[in-house]
Amino acid sequence: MAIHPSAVVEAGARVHASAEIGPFCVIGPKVTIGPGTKLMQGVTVTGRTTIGARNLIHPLCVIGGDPQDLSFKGEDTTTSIGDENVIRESVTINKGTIKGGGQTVIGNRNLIMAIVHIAHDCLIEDNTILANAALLAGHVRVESFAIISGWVVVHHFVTIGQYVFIGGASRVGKDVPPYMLLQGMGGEIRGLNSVGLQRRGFKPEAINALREAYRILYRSGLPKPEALSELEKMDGQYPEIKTVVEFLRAADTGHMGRRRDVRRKPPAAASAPPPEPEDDIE
Amino acid sequence: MKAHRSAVVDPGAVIAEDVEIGPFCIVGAGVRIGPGCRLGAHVLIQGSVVVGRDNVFHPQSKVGAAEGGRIEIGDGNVFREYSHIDAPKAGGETRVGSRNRFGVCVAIGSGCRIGNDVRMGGYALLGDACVVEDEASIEAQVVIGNEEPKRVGRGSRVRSMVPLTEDVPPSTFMDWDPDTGLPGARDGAAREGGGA
Repeated sequence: MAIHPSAVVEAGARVHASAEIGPFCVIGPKVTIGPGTKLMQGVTVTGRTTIGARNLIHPLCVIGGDPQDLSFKGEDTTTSIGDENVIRESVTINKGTIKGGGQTVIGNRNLIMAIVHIAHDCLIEDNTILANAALLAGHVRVESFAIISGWVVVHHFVTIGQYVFIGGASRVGKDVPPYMLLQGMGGEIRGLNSVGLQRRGFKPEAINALREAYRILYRSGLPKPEALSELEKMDGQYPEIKTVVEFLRAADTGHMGRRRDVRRKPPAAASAPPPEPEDDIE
Repeated sequence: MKAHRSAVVDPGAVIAEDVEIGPFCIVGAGVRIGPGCRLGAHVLIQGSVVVGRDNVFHPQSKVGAAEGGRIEIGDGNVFREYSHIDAPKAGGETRVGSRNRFGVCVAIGSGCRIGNDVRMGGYALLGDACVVEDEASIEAQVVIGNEEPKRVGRGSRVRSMVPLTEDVPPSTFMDWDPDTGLPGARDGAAREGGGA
């Protein structure tokens, strides 16, 4: 185990023998760091945080900090990071809240660029890219192979589907269906992420089917229920279409087109005291 | 004062007995910190700074500089990671009230006046000499007053990423107008949803 003499590793922390802890790092007593993971200088890891194997964490990150949420009262919630992620400078990752399930989870092989903020109860799957200064509010889910460009703000409870591409400086307030491309302050779906799909090895016929699905959903003028019925006629041939249909139906089960919004506490009864203000400040 | 052995606390600082100061913090001479405050790792407070009680400074947050005017911070504020308050110019003053919450990377320019119960989301930026009145809510990545000082009125809300070009009157909900591409007032009751 290579721990720089200036680093502070509190009693109780479990650091694997092959992990490296750089100068001026601070590692809390409930932290677990797996084999081959390297923390460069000035990284703070706090709370009940587990970091897997072969991650590279660049200077000044703060991982496992308290949630920015009024409901948090000091509970011992968790942060979990998988294997082979690259986390660049000054990234913040907050731990979970009880109402959100109590855990923030980062999967494997993600590239999280500088100054990204990942709030409480987020779930980042595998092989995603979050570019500089992207901001994920609480309870956001990012499915595998999605790419979020720089300076994007994602509203709390949003789910971003697999292979989605979000253009720079966009504002995302609703679930984004898989394979699509979103761009702009209004969060509009602008097209299919066809370049991304080609790069990931999707067959041309599958890409063409998804392009047709995009046209039916966003350019045909059909109301959404009818558009989904049209897509269901296609989904026997292409599993990707089925994925899109299931995603959109699930989005409708939540509030404001956000399926994870069901995690929000139910509205207060008429006789109850006034509700607290919206609590996320991401 | 409970300071980590690696923290650098100037003997000229006046710090209440129960204040917690984390590893690698730097607290300069001329700083006064009231009871119940907590400083996480790598926090920097320097200059003529008066901090009230029960404030929480998360890791890497920063207040002031070695030279400059006075900064006064009330009670019960939360400063998240990398948030910072610039030092006012010599003779100037920056005031932050009580029970405010500042998200990650929030920047507060020199000479600003911030009331009570204000919320600022991540990466929100206040230029020099801006005024934010009580109970205002400024969401993520809003840039205010980077050319000239602006005022955000009491109880107003500015949606995320809106580029503010004018003052915000009290109780106003400012959002981006997709027709003009400029910020505009919206019905304040429509508090939810930011997308299409």
